[in-house]
Parts: sequence; structure tokens; C-alpha cells
Amino acid sequence: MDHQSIDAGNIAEHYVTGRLPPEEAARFEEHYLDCLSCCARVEAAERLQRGLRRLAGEAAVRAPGASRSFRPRLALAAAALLAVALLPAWFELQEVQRLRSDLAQTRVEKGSTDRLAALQGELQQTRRDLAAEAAKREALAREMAADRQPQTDLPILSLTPVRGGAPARSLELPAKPGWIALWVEPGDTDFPFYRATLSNEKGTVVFQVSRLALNDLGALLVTVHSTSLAPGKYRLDLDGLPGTGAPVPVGRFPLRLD
Amino acid sequence: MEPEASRDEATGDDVADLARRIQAGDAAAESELVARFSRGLLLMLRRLVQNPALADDLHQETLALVLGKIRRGEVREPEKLNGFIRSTARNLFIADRRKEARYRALDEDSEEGGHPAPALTDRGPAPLERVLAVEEARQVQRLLAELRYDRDRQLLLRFYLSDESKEVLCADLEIEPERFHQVLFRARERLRELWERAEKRQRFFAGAQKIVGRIGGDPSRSK
Repeated sequence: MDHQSIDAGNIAEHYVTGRLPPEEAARFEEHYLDCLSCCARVEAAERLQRGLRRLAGEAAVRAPGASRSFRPRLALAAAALLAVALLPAWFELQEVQRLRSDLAQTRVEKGSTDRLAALQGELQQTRRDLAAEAAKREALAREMAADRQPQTDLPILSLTPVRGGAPARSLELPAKPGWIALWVEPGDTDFPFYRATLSNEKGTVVFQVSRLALNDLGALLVTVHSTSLAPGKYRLDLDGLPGTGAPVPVGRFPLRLD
Repeated sequence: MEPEASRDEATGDDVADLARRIQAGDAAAESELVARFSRGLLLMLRRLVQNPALADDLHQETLALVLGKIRRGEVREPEKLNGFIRSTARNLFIADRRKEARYRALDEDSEEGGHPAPALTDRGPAPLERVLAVEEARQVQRLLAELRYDRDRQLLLRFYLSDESKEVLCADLEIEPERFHQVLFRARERLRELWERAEKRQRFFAGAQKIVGRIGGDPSRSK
């Protein structure tokens, strides 16, 4: 017996399935007794047959009525065919079931009451914040629009050098937010630029502006928005800024805003 | 492994020489005979007996008997040693069957005499074998589904599971009778290739799992 004819004639498979005539089966047994590759051929065929039988057995159990009209061994083959034919569908079903399970899990995770409530809370808060922000922007836009309009009845506080204990100048803050003007006269000084510093009665600086230049009337005009000022006592310090060197104090202007 | 591979197609002269060496008292030759015939003999006996435990017993008995006969020069045609081993194994099996039949008859007699029946031996597959069989079936199912041609699937299933003749299979599956062996061979080869690929994958994943287990597993298990 040579391996080419054994392979070509499917001898091992015929032997395992009992299709080999007795004489030929005996010859093949004598051959494979000390032939490792033919032992492997027989073992592979047996393994396949065992697997198929098992498969067919399971399929026959699943569909017992299917085997009634066939001979038993043919019925097994038919059952196995059925099992294999149904396999892709079974895999798909498994996949669908897995996806459904994943989806359900995801829904459970994301759709839990607490999480949902928290998300809804966050959403509501965000909406509130957004609405507040929108209101602020609208108010700002209105202010800006108003600022672009010609300003009339602009409150002006005139600050002139005071000697001695002259009372502080006062100004009533406008009822509606708006600009107020500080008219500052530095007196007999002539610096290229000036610096004005407004402090409240606690000494905290409210604002400081530099590079102020005298207008044609020999005064400095500083405009401040009323929203940045609260009623109270203030002091405006004016310094002259020479071309070089340190600022030079020019005057102090007490004021009061009501 | 190389010497084993070269023994695939043993010649009569080859086995005759082995028998002569055994008869001459060469212990290495005896070991060689056992190594050479053990797997095939066990395979044949397991097919014949359908009981792994009994097959193992007969396997040992056969080898012992054959070696004894060779040593004593009782093998008339050493060049036909394969046939001698085969017939010895079959004869031992037949003798065992007869012996069992006699015991059964004696048991039945004693049962009639009022003695309790002896416990029956479980000749079914062991639990591990059952698990392996299930796994094997799954593997076969997967691989059959992977086969590209439905005719290959049908042919393999009907060839291995039914007792239909070649003529019936050829007629049903529209195979020319002279091409039957070739078609069956190709179907088998395709399945074998798939099987080998699947086994390679399994080995790869088993190896990877071991490595991952060693890296990420419970440190106490590596002790």
C-alpha cells in the first residue's frame, strides 16, 4: 500500500466508515500498524466522524420528528445537515441577542433614574444660566445702544483746587445707570500729561487713568460710568506727569456721591 | 521524529530484520518494536473493541505475547510481522469475548441460584472524553459551516454518517462516479486545512492567554 493510492482512494475514510471490503480493511490495518502518517489519517477521519455523529445526535434530539421517515444513519446525516444549515442563522441570532443585551445594559446604565434626574437637573441649570447670560447680554446691548445715542443732561462734577477746609463737592448719582463727568482743573500747572486716581474713603483705588491731557479750557475731563461708583466719600488725586522723572502731585479733590 | 517518519512505509525485510534482532536477544530491538507498533495497534484495538480500558489491556497483552513468540522463534514468517501482530490482537480480543460470554453465562446461572447479580462495568466514555467529544462536535460544526461549497458539506456529512453507497451519493450530489474519490478527497482536504488553521488559532490564543495570565493574573498562582 502506498500513500498516494491511500489518499487518492480515501482508504482511511472508507475504513473508518466501514465501507472497505474485509480483505482490503485487513491489508490497511496491517499497513497502518507501523505507519504513523496512516495512523494520523485514521485518527483524523475518526475525529471528524465522531464530531459529525455528535452534531447529528444533537440535531436529532432538537428535531426528533425529522428522522422518522429516513433510515437511522441517513436521518443522522440529515439532522447534521440541518444543524449546519441553521448555523449561520444561529450565529446571527446569537449576535442579535448579544447586541440586544448590550443595548439593554446601556439603557440600564444611562437610563437609571438617578442619572437621568442628575442630567435633567444639569440641563435645567444650564438653561437657567443660559437665560441669565442672555438677559445680561441683552441689558449690555441696550446699554451700548443707549451709549451710542447722544448724551443729554450729563451730570458733571467740577473739581477745582481747594485751599483750606473747603467742603467737598458732591454729586447725585443718576437714577438710571449712565455716565457722569468729572471736570478737573489742575490750576496753574503745565504738564504734558496728568494722572487721576480716585479712591474711596477707605483708601481703596476705584480707578486710575493716565495720559490725560488738558483741553483747550485748561481742564481735564474724565467720564465714569455710574455703575462703577457707589454713594460715599471719595478723593481724586491728580499728579502731573513730566516728560522725565517721577509724577508730581498737583492737587487733591475731595468729593461725595449721593 | 525523523526516524519515525522514515518508517512510514516499512518493508517486509525491515520488520523481518527487527524480528531477527529480537530473537537474537537485542533489547533495543524490542523497544523499537514497541515504539513502532504501539500507536497503530492501540488505534486498531480501540476501533475493534470500542472500550478504551479493554483496548489498553489487549494492547499490552498483544505486545507481550508477540515479543515472547518472537524471542522463542515461533513467528514463522517474520517478514509478515504486521499481519502476525494484527491477528494476535484480534485473536486475543475474540478470546476475551468468549471468556466474557462464559462469565456471563456463569453469572446468569448463579443469579438463578439466588446470588445477587454482579455490578455492570461502565463501558461508556469517561467524563473527560465526553467533554472532548462535545468540543470536537462544536469544532466540526464550525468548520463545516466555513466550507465554501455546500456539496462538500453534504458529501462529507452523508459519507461519514450514512451507509449510503458511492453510487447513491454520486447520483444525489451529481458527482461523476469516476470522480467520486477525487471530489471526496478535495472536500476532506478543504476541511482538513480549515481544521489545521483552527487548531493553529486555538494554540495561538491559548499561548496568548497564558502570557496575559502571567502578566495580569493572581500573583499567588505563579508561585
